[in-house]
Amino acid sequence: MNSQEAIDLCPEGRSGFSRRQFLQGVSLFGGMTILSATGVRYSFAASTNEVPDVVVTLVLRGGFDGLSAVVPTDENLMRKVRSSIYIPNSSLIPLDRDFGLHPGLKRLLPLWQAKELAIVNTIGAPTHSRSHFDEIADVAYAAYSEKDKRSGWMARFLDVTGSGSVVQSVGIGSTTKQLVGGTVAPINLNGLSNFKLDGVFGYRPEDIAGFIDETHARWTNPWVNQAKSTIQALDQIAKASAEKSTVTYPNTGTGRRLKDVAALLKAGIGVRAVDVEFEGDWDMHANMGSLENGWLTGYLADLGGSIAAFREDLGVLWARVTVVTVTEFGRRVSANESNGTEHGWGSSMFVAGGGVNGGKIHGRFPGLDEKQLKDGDLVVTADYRSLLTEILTRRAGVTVKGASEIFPNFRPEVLSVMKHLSETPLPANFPKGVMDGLGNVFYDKDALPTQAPVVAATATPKPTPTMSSADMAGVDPSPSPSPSRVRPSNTKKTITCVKGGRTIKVTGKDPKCPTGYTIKK
Amino acid sequence: MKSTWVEGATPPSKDLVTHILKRFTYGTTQQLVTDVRKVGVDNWFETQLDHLTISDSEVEAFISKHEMFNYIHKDINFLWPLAESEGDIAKGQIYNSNWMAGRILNLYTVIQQTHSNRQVFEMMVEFWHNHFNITTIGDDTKDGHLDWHTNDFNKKVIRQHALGKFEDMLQLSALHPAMIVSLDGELSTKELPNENYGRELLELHTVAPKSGYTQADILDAAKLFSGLRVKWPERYYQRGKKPRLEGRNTFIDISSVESMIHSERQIYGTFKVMGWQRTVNSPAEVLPAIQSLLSYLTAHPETAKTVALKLGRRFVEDVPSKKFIDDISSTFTSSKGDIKTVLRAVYRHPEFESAMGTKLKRPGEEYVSVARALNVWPNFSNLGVWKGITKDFPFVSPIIQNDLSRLGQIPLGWPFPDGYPDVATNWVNANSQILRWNTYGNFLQGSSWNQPDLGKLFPAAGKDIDSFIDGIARTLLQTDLGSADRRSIKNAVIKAFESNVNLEANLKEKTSLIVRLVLQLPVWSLR
Repeated sequence: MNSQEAIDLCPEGRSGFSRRQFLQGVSLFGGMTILSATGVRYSFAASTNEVPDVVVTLVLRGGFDGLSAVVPTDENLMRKVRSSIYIPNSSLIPLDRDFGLHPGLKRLLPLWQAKELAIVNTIGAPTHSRSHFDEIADVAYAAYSEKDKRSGWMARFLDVTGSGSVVQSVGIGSTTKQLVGGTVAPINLNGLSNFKLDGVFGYRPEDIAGFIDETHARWTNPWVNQAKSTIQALDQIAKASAEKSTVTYPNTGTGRRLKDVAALLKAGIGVRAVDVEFEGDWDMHANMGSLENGWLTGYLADLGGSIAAFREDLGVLWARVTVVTVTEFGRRVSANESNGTEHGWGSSMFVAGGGVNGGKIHGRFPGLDEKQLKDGDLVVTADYRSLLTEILTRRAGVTVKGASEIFPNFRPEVLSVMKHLSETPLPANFPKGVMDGLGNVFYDKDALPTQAPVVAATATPKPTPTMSSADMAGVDPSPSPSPSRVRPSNTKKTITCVKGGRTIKVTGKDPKCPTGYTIKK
Repeated sequence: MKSTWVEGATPPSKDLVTHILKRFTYGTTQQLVTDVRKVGVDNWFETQLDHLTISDSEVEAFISKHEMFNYIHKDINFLWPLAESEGDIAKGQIYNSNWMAGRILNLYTVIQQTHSNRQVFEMMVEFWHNHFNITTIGDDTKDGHLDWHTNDFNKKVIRQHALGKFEDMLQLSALHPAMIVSLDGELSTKELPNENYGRELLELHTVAPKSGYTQADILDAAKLFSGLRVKWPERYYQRGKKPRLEGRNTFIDISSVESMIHSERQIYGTFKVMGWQRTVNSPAEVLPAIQSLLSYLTAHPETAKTVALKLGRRFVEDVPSKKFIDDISSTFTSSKGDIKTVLRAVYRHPEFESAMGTKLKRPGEEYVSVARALNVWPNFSNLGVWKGITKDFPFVSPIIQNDLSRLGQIPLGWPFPDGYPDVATNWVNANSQILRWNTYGNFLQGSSWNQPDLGKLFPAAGKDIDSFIDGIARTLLQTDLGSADRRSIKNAVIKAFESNVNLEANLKEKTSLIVRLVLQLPVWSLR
């Protein structure tokens, strides 16, 4: 009996086998067609299956300053453009010859060294409005024509290939627009342990849940449809709530949120996509603090520490997780007089997980000379949707056709930030319960975008109604670093530096070990 | 938000008076419907627009009983010396800074929404505060400087003009210290004018991005406002709270608010914004130029459309029709932004009448509507006390604020300049539902609010279980309970009380359960 027959034969309420129980049971079986809570059909082809990644977005609301996090090592230029907020090279954690990491992010260094963390520079949205409200909404839609702004991109991702679980998409924080508008309502959480119903007198929580289920079945509207999922999710979330962790997370909202995400993934309840809002506002117009402490340094330490703890907590599950940071825009290249920065355009995205081409800075940094900027902003040389496409197609079981439904009217560029699922075999000790919860997805490398030569036509974002040709003219897609950064490649040397038990490689014309490290012969 | 339902469910009321009261109050009751029918709903609405003629003695008596409310609408010139007189940062300042004053204002707002007879006025206070949004939840990023002004902003800009003229609010908001601090005007310099206010003025307060303004428009607006500064009390500097601006002898005071033009930080020249143009060569020309720009923007047809869209979302449906926006914006334009005239046009618009039951209550509205239905007052029996040096201060119980902050809609507390979203998609989520559903139980138990008098609200005398359930539902929903829903509720009573449906046993508990379950029906969450 396939599952459609199961539903036909066992409509809700007619036998002991309710649709709710059916849905809880069904995700245990791979290689079959199932019907989700709202009747969407998913095809899982058992012959070419893979266990997909869980996609976790970490939303940095307010406009994340890539230049403060991943800092160009051209000191003279940086001092010139950033005046009071410039960070000297001696304080940076070296990443490659051109960039260093803000010391606040030091807990990300082990992930970088293990090649589990990649950075993509001067990436962002095709629009350049500098408006928080427009840009954060558009990044959530990831669609740029009005008719397509009906649902968030993660909602469309799950419409294309969900797990069928009522908790397949989870939002934590207030920016869960990415998850909204699909056929299955997302679950929004504010702490796992708060997600439970209270009873009243002799009427227990499960009785209240049953009452809501019964009375809401008589209605349809978005609120009621969500209520049906919410009731089903109560049992699932209770399982996650029982998961324990011994890892120490930063004592911050973001730390607690990522700890909850780890519990959700460990519980094996079919969570496929999580949208987490970083708790705090990155809109640092003023008083961003010093290198030692303050707003920026504190937030970066929270960001780096939370991701590092999350990775440690997940253990072997990390092999099937991709975490990516998302923001609405980068910030103006020049500092203002208030020890802050104004709204800008291009920013940096961090990608961490088991399938990342890590330890590498991706993206074509255009340079910081006035003529290389657009109205004083770093230009966007790669559309963030290209990166998301790569995450979804290489890691999450989405085909080219699926990607075109998720990101309408968009031609992605191959960035090679992600490894293919087939290049990262599932670890033998990957827990079966979690694997079953995730389900299998159709995976065929030939059906995915292939490596194409990078040409100007694909390097720049497609013009949209909100982007004038004048905007586009400001985008120089070819790598044109400032003169000081162009060196013949044959003069590069690589040295190995050690500090305690830690080894890093530094490459450059005249490479030097950072402070505290000694060169290893 | 469109709904469908099957036979046996409880649909929204089709009664026009009930519809009007659901949209123009924070929650209707059987008593209110009866009272309004007596005077005629059109007369009721007209009286609501003339809000100062409405007696509000009950809520005023409650407010005046509690000393903390004496401080809510005071400005820095009142609060700072008081904090100083306490002489102790941990006591006086905390009590008097916005950290506390803002929270008292949240509570004051919830009480007014729940018990004021001036319901349309209170709705418009919330509407306009969100339109020109400045959070009352202190803002660390402004180093505490915002804390001293937001409550005054709520009083002098919003409450003063919520049923007056749009332009008065726009003019006053632009110059008010709370707006200057909130949108970083204090940080503007001649060299680098801060763009925050210039952008939000166009994007949120007036024409909105659909009008097609450019970065050049924003920058010119920012330049025009570059010299606008807060006039801080001298003693505020003395306490080292804020570094002095250099060249402070070159200020021009703005008499209506505690602000001024700093002539050395002001940019001069010719400014062009959305077709408006003015040359400013001296400090004395700045304020007239600002006022001219704001008048121009008030009269701009795109501003009328911005307001019409928001009013449509508030009172009609999530996506108001183009016709509605055209009609209301033309009233806005012809009445020169007279808010009463525009509200009358909304009230009389055919699309208002046809939109029955299409709006989802936002969580704050849901919360207040339960409080109104159960006629409860905040429970201040557990007020904390701050031991001050000169006197003790009662410390507001944070429970109600905590309830609302968990639900995601503490009044006037949205942290961003765009105000709380007003469409269902922003509020439909699992966590919010769990919290709302548990809220009903909390109200019935009584903790943040006093325990409702269930016996008085829902008399059982002479009723059997079916007619009792029907009576409770009619009182709460102003419509008849569907047969299937009645069966579900009765089954619940049977299950919880071991088949004893006799109302003489456990009446209070049974009433409580039935009320909880009626509130749990989908129709309750619509307005």
